Amino acid sequence: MFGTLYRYELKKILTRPYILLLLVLMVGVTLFLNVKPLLAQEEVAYAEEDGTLVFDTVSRYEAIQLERRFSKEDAGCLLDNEAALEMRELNEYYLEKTIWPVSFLLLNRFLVQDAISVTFLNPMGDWTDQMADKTYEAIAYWQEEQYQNQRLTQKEIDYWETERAGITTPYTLDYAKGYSGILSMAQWLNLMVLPFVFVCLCGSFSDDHVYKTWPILTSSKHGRKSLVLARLVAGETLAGGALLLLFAVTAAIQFFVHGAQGAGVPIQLLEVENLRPGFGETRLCASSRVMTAGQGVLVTVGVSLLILLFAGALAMLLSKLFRRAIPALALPLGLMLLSLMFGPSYYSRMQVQIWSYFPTRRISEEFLLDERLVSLGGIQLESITVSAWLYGLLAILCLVWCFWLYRRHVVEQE
Amino acid sequence: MKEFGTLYIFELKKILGQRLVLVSLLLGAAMIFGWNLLTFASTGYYFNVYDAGDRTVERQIGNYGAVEAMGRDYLRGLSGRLLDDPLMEQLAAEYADSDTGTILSNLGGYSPFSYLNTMLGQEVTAQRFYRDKVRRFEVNQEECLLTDQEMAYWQGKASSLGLFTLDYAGGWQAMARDSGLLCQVAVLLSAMCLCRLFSEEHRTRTDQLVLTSAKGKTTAFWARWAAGCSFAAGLTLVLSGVYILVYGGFYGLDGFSTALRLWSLGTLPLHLSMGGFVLVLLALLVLGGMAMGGLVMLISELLRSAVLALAVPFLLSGITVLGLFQGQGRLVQQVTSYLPFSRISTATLYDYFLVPPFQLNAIEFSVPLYVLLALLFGGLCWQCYRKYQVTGR
Amino acid sequence: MELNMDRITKQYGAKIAVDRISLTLKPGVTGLLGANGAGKTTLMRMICGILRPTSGTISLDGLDVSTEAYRAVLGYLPQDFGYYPSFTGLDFLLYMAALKGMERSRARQRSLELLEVVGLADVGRKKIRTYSGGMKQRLGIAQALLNQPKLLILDEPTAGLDPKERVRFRTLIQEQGEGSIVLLSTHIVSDVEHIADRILMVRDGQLIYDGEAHDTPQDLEGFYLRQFEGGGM
Repeated sequence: MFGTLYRYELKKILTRPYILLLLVLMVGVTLFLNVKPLLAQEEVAYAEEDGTLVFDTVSRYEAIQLERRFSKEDAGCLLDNEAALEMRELNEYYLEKTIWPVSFLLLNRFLVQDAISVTFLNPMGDWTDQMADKTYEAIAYWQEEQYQNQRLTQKEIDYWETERAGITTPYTLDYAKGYSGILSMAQWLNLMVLPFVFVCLCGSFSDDHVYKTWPILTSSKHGRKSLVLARLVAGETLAGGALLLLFAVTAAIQFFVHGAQGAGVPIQLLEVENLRPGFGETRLCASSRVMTAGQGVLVTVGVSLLILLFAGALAMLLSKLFRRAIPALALPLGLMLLSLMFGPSYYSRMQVQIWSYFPTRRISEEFLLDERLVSLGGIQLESITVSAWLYGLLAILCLVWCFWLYRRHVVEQE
Repeated sequence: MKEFGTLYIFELKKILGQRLVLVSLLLGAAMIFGWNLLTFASTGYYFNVYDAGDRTVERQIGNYGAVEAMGRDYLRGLSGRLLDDPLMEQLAAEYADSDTGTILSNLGGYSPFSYLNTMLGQEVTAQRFYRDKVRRFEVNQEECLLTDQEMAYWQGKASSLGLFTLDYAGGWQAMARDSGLLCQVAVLLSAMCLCRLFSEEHRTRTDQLVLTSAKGKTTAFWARWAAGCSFAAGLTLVLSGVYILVYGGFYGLDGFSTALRLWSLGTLPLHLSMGGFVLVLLALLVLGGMAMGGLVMLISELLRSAVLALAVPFLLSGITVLGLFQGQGRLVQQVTSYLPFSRISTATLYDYFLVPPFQLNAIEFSVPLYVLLALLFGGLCWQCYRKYQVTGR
Repeated sequence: MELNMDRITKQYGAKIAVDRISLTLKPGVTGLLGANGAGKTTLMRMICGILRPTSGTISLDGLDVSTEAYRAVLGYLPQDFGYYPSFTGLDFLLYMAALKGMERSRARQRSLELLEVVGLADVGRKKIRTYSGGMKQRLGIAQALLNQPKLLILDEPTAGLDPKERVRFRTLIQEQGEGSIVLLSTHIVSDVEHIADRILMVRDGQLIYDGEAHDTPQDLEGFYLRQFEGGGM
């Protein structure tokens, strides 16, 4: 019985004329955001096996395939002074051989030079033969800067220092751009699916009031308990399913283009691009987390999923509370907009920290850089743990509240 | 005509009878008031206070309201003074002694001070100030994607500006700065009230009665359309009035005639006062609100869905807030700059694009554009309305 | 005065809802009987101009169904009409009167008159959301009669009315039929038995009987039931 009701409730949502259209639109936008950067032109330089130096202007997609090709040489190797020196010497050799262009970086030791440049260092920095050491120093510097930027307390700094000690150096290199590509898209997928969920579910309970189907539903055998559970589960399926669909599309494209290797690369070697023109990328070298690229993606997807489940539960609760779809839609959309328009004063760390847990703010380029802890009963909790618990509990709270309202509904209140 | 009047009143009654209208008004007023309260109460502003007797300087921290009041009092003392060499010498002398006066961290609102900040150590003259103002229209042509014609237009405007009179215009500057918030509030609340106007007729099945009546396909439609547009305009006007009152209460309404270009954000070389610019923005808001209301009503009738009719303006607003149209090329930037959410904001002060063939600037072009859009949406909506078939439901 | 329907057809994909019906209606009451899904409502909607026929024409004394002049003399009570909950009964009638192009003073007078006729005079200034189902139905009848229509189309008008109200309604319709064309669809045979001059029966979109009410071989109800038991004429 539950299964049948669940299928019908899902059908009710999906057969609304605009839902599938919106879903297709979101998939289209996802495809566009993933594919568009691949069409940009960029200049590449590399040396073939026979020593021929090649300069070319290719599409980003082709450039990526070249990066992958040359990454195979260093995949699995350590980022150490020897590798850095070899990379530098190779580049210097070819720089001397050619006059034009003035300077270039070969793709040939791509992983090494990319790992160094991600820390804001110039891979060709010629002041030392210990370029890898300098890189690790730079990473440590950025990590400590991050403590200052986030105004961490000494307790928090001690916590992250302990965490940091667990990071294994030297790093093992691999091509992990597929994972950073997914991380770059996460914020936008989140921002797309949130309003979609509100639009789809704002009428989930209010429609019964509008179309006056309450009496026949609530007077039926399974109309009080099974029906509401089926409806809530169907709503959450839509919310979670839509997000996972978009992540699946993104992952498919990113792994097709970049390959799925590199899951074990530490996140400190990743860059998260900002898809907005004019905004720079966020480099995760400032993170003190012991986390790999694969784990970073899983955590991001997991927290996104919890956010969307909360959003779905909230939409259904508001639909039941207001008994009308328009206020149930306007309120969360309005709050979303406000959260995008405004932010707290930079001077108040607490305000900034609280604000960062808002659904539109949580999954940002800096999600994995958030090292502000939350103290709960003497226990220091990381932002990821807090996020998971917060959204999970909020989702459950909304679902329970909605369930309770439905169970106690009486027709005379219409 | 009489039928139109009667139907118009009934349609307006239908709109105003919604609980959402009262909620929108109260919510809008609360947001405007609340924003100012939060702004004035926000802390973290450092400033120096000079004690002439002890010749000591004390660094203090205050809230925005207190700091704003200090700046206001200071400038009110200079009110009405012509920005000429004697005044510049006086300001330079007062500022050159860095322990004197009040150094505010938010000096952006007072051009002479910000000018003095940048020119510290150099000879400060009125001539230099005005030349700098003209040159401050430092539009990098390539970066801003302007044509030679546009550059010549704005340079001509900039060179023809006369002497400024110094005056405190914090209230009008704050109104201009926060006009984006007012736009979001007014347009979206208006959309919330109008999104059901046409779709509800189909949902409640009153469309059958209306469409079968003599005036149902013509007069009734235009009466409803007019009621919707006038509601959008009315709500916007009421919220604008609340806006001016609230800001006037917090900041004062001094400096209506202060030159717009005295403001550090006033880079657009327009012959407008601060107060005049705010009124221009509010007028554009009314027109833009009507156009957006028209779009909402069109979607409401076309898709017969209040949910989508409401979601679209929120989506447009979100995309504008996120700046997704930026950096997408001149055409996209120029077209999307006319969305009310972009146009009624300080972004207008950085919009140097002209519209051919009459080379109208952004403000000039917005007026006929919004009117035409409202009419266009009305025409399209009417077509959908007239062609609607009542099939089995 | 004549309402002419010439080979009216309405097709939805493969389904033919109304199949080449040709009729001429003259002043008087015409009952339209048929099972659910027979095509009665579809036919009535086409007559009212809110549904375009796939083919065929409809005109009233030469006035095409799509013209304002046609709608000016039309009164329609749909099967499942809605209302504006925040309006009072009087507001609703005044609103409909304005839609029908009536002068304001005349509209007010006529509205009050009709509220009296349908027995809603006491509740005319109360909001419609407080009305019972029967009261809403009576309000619907009142709005259909506002402009003293020459063509009155009533789709299941007695649904929700108690027996006493139904009797009152029949009298009202009979009076209306003296000068106007009244087309009334119903499942309740007794509603048309005593007032209809002519009976139309529709099955599967086709007109299967068109005759005087007293011309049926047996009592109307028996005759009607026989048509829809799979038997024919």
